[in-house]
Amino acid sequence: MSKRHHPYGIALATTLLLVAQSCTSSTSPSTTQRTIEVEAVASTFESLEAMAQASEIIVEGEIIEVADGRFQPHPINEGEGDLGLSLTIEIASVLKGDVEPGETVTVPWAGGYYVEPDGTRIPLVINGQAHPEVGENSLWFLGPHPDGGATWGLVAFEGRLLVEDNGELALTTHRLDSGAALELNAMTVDEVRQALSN
Amino acid sequence: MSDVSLGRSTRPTRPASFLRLLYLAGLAVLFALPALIAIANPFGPTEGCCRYADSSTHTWLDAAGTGGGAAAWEFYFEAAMDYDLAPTDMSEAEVTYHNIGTNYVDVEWYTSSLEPPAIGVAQCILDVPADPTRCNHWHVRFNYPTSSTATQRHHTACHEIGHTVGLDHETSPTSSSCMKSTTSNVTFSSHDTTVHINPKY
Ligand SMILES: [Zn+2]
Ligand SMILES: [Zn+2]
Repeated sequence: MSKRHHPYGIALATTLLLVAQSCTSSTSPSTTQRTIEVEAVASTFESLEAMAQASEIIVEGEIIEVADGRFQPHPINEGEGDLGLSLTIEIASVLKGDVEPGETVTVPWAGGYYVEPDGTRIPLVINGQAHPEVGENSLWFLGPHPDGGATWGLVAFEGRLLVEDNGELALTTHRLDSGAALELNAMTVDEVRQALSN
Repeated sequence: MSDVSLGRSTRPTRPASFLRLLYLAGLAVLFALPALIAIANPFGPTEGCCRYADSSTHTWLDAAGTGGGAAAWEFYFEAAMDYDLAPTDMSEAEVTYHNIGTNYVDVEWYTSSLEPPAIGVAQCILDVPADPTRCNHWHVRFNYPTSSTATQRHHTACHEIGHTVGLDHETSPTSSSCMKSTTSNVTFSSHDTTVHINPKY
């Protein structure tokens, strides 16, 4: 759950932002302390096997860049809309598919920012997940993306798992009781690799 | 007299404390039961994900226009409003305004190019200033229909509308609710309606 901020906190943050904006000529967009929670519906999988079958590539890797993604305008209010993120992942190991360690893949992220008409960016927390960050090590179950090329789409929200230092996987999405989520949450990367090679 | 009254006042001690224990146990069960049920599908922003609606009349705006496969979603969004929400103690009404001053439509839906794996999303854009447990204006966006089946669209419309009135995910294995993410259920369960929606609105 993202934090809900005290009204005075919001007022203070807003004041500081306004002061910061008026004191600088920087054109970089401002972000707020406020976050917007997004509840998304997506396919779920009953097992690791089913999710692996639906994935064209399964890779473990490190996020090396988080950039602005696609902007989806609000149909009525000009300048307002949803801005996605574009993640670049450097592949460390391949569990499935025709890619090689050292290559990079691009994965657009469904939760980025809600952009207000004045350009203020409010971070989106999608299904309980804050923005992925540079340096994150994770396991990705990926399928084709409409953009093609090296751009891939997450097949399910339980298809992105953090890899902890001891190799254990941790779900990032909230309140998801799919078979694949429950199975993967108790495994290590090597156990997944082994399960897929059987 | 005082002996008798003493006797009377001391004697019933045991049955009284036994009854009190029973009473307390009963109370505990009464309080624990709703809590256990609530774990299955939390309601409102304190228990779960989503803010309550700002009133019992849920207004909605079709802002999708005609592009982006809007018609494929329009059918199911309207069906979910008519056949899932309208039979509850809430009412629904289609409107043609986004906002009139600070009076915003409760749910504005449109199609958008969502990034995978999202098929539909609901996000509270504006709280009710005087009561942040309620949402003044929700955006519900649906991905262009190429990535979903008709059943998924029906399920998704019901599910996202459920979030806009405060329902969280249902985890009971046998639930018929569209709030259960791992199914393609297309209606609210009687639990959603009688335990959550009707008492609140
Ligand atoms: Zn949901
Ligand atoms: Zn709006």
